[in-house]
Amino acid sequence: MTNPVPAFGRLRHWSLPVGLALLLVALAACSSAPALPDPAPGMGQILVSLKAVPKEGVKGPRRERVQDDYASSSHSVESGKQYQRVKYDAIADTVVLCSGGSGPRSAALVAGKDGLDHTQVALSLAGGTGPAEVSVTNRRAAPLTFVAVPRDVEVVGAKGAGSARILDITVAPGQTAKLAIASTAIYDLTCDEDETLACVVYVTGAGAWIGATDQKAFFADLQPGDYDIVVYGPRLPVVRKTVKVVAGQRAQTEAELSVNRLHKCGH
Amino acid sequence: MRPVSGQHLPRPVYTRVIQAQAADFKWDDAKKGSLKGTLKFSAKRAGAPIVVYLLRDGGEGKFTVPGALEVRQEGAKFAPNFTVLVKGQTAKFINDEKKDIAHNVYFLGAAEGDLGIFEKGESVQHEFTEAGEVSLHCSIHKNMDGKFFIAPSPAFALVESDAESFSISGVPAGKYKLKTWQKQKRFKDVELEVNIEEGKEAGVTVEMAR
Repeated sequence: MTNPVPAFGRLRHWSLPVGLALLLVALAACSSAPALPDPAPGMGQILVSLKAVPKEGVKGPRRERVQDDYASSSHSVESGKQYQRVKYDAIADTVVLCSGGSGPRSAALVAGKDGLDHTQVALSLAGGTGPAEVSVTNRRAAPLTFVAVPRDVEVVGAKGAGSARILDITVAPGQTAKLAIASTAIYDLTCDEDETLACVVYVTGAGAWIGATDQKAFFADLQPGDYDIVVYGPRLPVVRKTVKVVAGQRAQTEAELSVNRLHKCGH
Repeated sequence: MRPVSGQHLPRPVYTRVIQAQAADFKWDDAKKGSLKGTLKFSAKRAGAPIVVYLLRDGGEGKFTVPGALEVRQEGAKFAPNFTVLVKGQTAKFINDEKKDIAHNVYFLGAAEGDLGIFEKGESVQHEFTEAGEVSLHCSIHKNMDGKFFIAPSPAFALVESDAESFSISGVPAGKYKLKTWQKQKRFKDVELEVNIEEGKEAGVTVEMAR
């Protein structure tokens, strides 16, 4: 008895999953991070793998059945902006500071109707002259005045401790203004007109990195020795590590950002 | 044996005396005075409150801690969203959601801890024993935040954003450091000496500058 499926039909039958697999492999290759450079002679590197973990025991939002005239349907009981959940698969604006290395000298913030587009930014004064800059664009209808106030805590890679001062800028509607920061510190940037427009600006004299918790922070060109790594996830406990760097090698460490690390208390 | 220049002998007895004095001091038994003051600002002030508080020379001693503060959570909002507690005071977090919604409360800052997950109708309470700023969060809902300032003693005043004068009464006579804390930082925090005398009202002007 002959097979009723024609040859081209059989081909289509197996080629679909194979084709999908090839497509996925191609997409994965396109989206993978670029290869990291090898350490320079006599120098080492640090690679910090970040991971955000939700609180143990948290379940998804419960659903309720709603009956109207024609049918019944189910809806989440958590509707509205106030019930938006934290997405732990990738928490944006996570800052990693290192007591060695360098980082970006500038950052950009946009003040729109829903607030600032970043809750944290990281800058480094290492390896350059002149101040670091935060540019603020005002997409609102009225002028906005921002004030950056240094905290009374020392930042990793601090230089000239205690010299940081209060800075302010006013940004006209539709315009961009730059805040020049010449001293290392952790600054609270807030707005006179709207308390919800707030951002923490980390300015170090060493290594600075900002990204999401599904990424890896990379610090290159480090002299052999011990380095402090501090990870600031928005609304999460700070993670501190000490990493040993050996010449010609890439030291790897993990930083788990989670409420689960906190002391359990209350009754 | 005399110490070598630059070398200091430990003085454990002196330290113990200071600690004992601080612990033995009782606010309720002390003679009291009061403080009245005004805040002066060198630039535009933020629309957020400022706390003026006193630190007693020699330690805070023992005082009566106010009763528990209730913090409600309906609509995924801490209510009150900001308040001042006294060191040792308890905050009771009540999940009063109308629907079947669970919340978590954790706090960061001067004190850090996780109060767990609690369902609609449940509550959890915690005694805040460290003075300073504490931020409150829910690990489930990303916009659910609040803030406490834990005052080191009952000698504090909450100066609202539309007020400039303050008064602190029932303060045991003695020497204090007056300090400020701003919910929204705009100025350098102030630290100055004040002397409270029995039955008298001391006056002070607090210059908030950048």
